[in-house]
Amino acid sequence: MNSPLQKLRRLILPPRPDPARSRRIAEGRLMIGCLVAFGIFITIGVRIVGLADASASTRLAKSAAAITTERGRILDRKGRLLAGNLPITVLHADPSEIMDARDAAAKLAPLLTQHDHASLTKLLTKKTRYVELDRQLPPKRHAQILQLGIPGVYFAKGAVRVYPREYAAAHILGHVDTDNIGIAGIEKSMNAKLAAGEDVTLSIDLGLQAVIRREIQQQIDSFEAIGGAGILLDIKSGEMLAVASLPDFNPNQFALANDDMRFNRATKGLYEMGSTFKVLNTAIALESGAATTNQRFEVSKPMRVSRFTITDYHPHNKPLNVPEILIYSSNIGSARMAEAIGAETQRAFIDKLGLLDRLELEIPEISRPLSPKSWHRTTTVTVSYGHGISISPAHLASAVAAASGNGHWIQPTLLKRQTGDNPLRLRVFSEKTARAVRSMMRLVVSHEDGTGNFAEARGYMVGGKTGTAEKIQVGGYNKKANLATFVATFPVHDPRYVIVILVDEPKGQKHSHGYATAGWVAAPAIRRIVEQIAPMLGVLPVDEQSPLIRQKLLLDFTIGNEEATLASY
Amino acid sequence: MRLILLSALILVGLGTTLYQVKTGIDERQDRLHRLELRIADTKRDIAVLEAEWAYLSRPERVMTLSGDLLQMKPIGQDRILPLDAIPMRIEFGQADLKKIVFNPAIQPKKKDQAE
Repeated sequence: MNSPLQKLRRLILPPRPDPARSRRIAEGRLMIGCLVAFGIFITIGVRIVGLADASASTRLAKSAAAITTERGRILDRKGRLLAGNLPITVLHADPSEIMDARDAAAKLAPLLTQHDHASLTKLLTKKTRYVELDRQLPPKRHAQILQLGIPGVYFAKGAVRVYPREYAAAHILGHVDTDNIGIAGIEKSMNAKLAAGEDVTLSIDLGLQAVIRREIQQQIDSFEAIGGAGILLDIKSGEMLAVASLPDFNPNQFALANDDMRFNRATKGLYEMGSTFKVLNTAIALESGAATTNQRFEVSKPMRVSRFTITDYHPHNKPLNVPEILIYSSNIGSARMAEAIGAETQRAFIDKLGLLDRLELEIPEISRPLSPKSWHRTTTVTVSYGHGISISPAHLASAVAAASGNGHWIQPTLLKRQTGDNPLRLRVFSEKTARAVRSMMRLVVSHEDGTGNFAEARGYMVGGKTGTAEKIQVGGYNKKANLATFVATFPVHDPRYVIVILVDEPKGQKHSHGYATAGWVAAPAIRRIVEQIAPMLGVLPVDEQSPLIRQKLLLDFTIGNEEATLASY
Repeated sequence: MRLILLSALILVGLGTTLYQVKTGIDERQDRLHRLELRIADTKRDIAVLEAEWAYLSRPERVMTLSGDLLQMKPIGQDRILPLDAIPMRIEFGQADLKKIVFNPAIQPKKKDQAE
């Protein structure tokens, strides 16, 4: 090794490294290079997978966002759900991606309820890119179809509108079409708000609604009537706490309901309300100064007005005063009062009470009352006892609330009033008039000769007025088809609520001795309703004879026998 | 030379931080999406439960059930009294106790106690 050449080389060049050592170094470097390259590839690989995953979750998040902007709910005044959304799975397919339509149809047919093999084959061979196979796929079926693994079959998340309370306030809630756009009721009128995902809170109270619906239904059943309606109105706020129209429908099966069921009798139906109008007539007479409470009107002879003859159900042979006219429901007396009021004044009051125009409620199902264009003498006379003008039960409720409450007409609403809301308020009657009117309404129920005795719910101070009107038909009135109405205010010493009950075409029954009048048909429903809802509304029963209660009513009336004054009513 | 090295180092540092921040954002966004998904899922579950509860608590159903199973009835007006209608508690002497007529059903027991 120590040749002279090598010595020379060592002089010029650095010493030659040990081959074994340089090999180790090279190996080390190679290894590091490999590791770095490997690391880079791993990082890239991980990033690729991560990015792919991220885009997937972004897509999912987008679909989640689409769900969260679903239609707003409809709640009752206490926040209970009336209309909501239920998540569903929509099964759809892209026929262009399905390879064997017959085979796919055979596999799917047993799992789908709406289609059989033939109809599925037809659907799956269509020349479109989207066919809907099932709108409401249950989760179990969803899993089964996933397991079939048919290419071209897809699932989409959706929501279906549900009305979990079934019949409760069905007419007020309304309905949506298959695209979730409101087509009736609150769903239609509040569509913009609901579609934006906002909840709507109604003035309706579910519990009160259920009671009123049930009691009207019972009267319809026991008197074989064709329908009915009921309204509970808060006098002070104008909120409608219950609005029922029967027959009604289950909004979850809207397609099964016929037109009669869908018709909202409470707000859209127009009826000649009959004697319940005498409450308004009395209030107008007192307010306009046409009569004082103890003024008497001649009622012994039938009254002729152009071609009409006005008679009384029970003729009286001596003049009646204003409360007596209301208690005995005298048509002649009311007509005479109306003549004293005069056509113009009467029309002005009727107009102020909102009975000539549509009642602006928050649903599309409202109608304009039918009233004569020119207000003749006959009109004045017939309107006094509720004929010649057709209004909805909601109209009646708001007008009577004004006459028997504190004299204000308040714009009624179906939406819950928020604190600070300032509804339209018109003074129509004075405090004094309203007090006299409700005291007289109390007598209709509490006096032994009153027509509304069956409405007496002891302790709750119910005042009211019956109305039995013959229904209009082509060419006149139908003597056999009645409309039994009862309008009630309670408690009369501190008026807070007005109830209107209407039963359409009740038939006389054995248990009612053949009668189908409002006193027999509608009044008992009022009693049962008040007895049930008063505790719910926090209205306490009172002792009618206590001086505290008596001083809140007008009692200086003379009813019937001159000597027997109201001291004992 | 040293300057180049230093700036290269800074550049590398900045690049790494930027990358970290970017991936961090992505990660957070992912988490956000996942949470949103979970919220949406939970909301759907709540909607289902709410609808079910609303269906089961229909007043008609509750009225029928409370009537059939618990024999409940609407409260009569004679069972509701304002608080001040209830008389104040009276202190009884032993002599007064004898005047009280006990409920016949529990009278024998009271007699036993007296003996």
